[in-house]
Amino acid sequence: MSMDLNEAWKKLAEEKLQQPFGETVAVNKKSKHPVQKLINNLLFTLGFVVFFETAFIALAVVMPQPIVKIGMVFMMAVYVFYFLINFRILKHIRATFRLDENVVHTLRAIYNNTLQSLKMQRRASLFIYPLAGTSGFFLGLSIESNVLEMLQNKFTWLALVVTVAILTPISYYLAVWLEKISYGKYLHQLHTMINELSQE
Amino acid sequence: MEQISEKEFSNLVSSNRGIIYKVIRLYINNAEDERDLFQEILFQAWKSYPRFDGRSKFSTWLYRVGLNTVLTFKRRPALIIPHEDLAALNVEPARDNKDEAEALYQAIRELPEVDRMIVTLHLDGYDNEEIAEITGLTKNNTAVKLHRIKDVLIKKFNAQ
Repeated sequence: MSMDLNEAWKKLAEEKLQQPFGETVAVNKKSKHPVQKLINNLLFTLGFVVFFETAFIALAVVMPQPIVKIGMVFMMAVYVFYFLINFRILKHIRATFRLDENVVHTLRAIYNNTLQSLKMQRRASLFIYPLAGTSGFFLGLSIESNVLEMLQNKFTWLALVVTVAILTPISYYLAVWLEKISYGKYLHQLHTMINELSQE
Repeated sequence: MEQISEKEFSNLVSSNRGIIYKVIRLYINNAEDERDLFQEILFQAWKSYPRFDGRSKFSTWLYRVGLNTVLTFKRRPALIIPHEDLAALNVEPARDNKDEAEALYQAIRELPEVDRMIVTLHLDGYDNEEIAEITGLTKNNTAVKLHRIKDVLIKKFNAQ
């Protein structure tokens, strides 16, 4: 490196780069890091899952119609599965999210954690949306009428199939789109940096 | 490393805060992100400090936390105009009206983020082994990359 560059760097560091911009050194207790946001989202999801699990238990007890009870039991099982997946991801992220490791390791851990979390949620959603749609449909029917009687009518089945067929892809693609907006660019940026660092 | 009080930690960081300013100024160009990142680096350093084993200098460790935080923090899109677009906009290049330091700053800012990190660590006096330790590259790969980046940087610097 030429002498000029070293001197210019020294000058740049002293006169510009290391000049304070008015912040005081005080430890902020809140993090705005995307991985911290991911952790917060996972905690929120776990809270949400527990809340709905409780609601499904209550509905399974309160609702008199057996078909509705079966729907609620299905939903309870799905939400237990959903809880376990999210808990596992949260545990993994907490164990690997370290910003005092080397850069490649940190970038890889964050990229893989984020990707894994999003993939798992997407897969779980594909399983959950149709069941949630069906259970909601039965629950709605049970308010006004006898579900088993209503299911004798093929128009009810058609309405159920159409509802699930419309709601599932709409919910799925909406979630994928939201994911892309929230994380797409960020993941691409991390991936580019990992590639740059991994190139020999 | 044993847990220290917030006040002791703040004092420790205060004497090395130039590192944080430097990392932020090399990657960020808006005041809001600067403030957010400053707080974020402090937060992450504070959270990670119990794992600091003292094998490297505190300043090296803080540099690593700072770089990792800046590189993995989701921030607003860059506002810097690429150098090749300056002519089209009829804006005078930095060298005409500013000093060499400013020209170097522009040249470094135009490098890819990873290259920027490697060359600034080098300019700050870190040897290839230390750069390899911070970045996770091998020592040989660091040397190869650094050689290539220096060529690019010198060309950019001289062109300004």
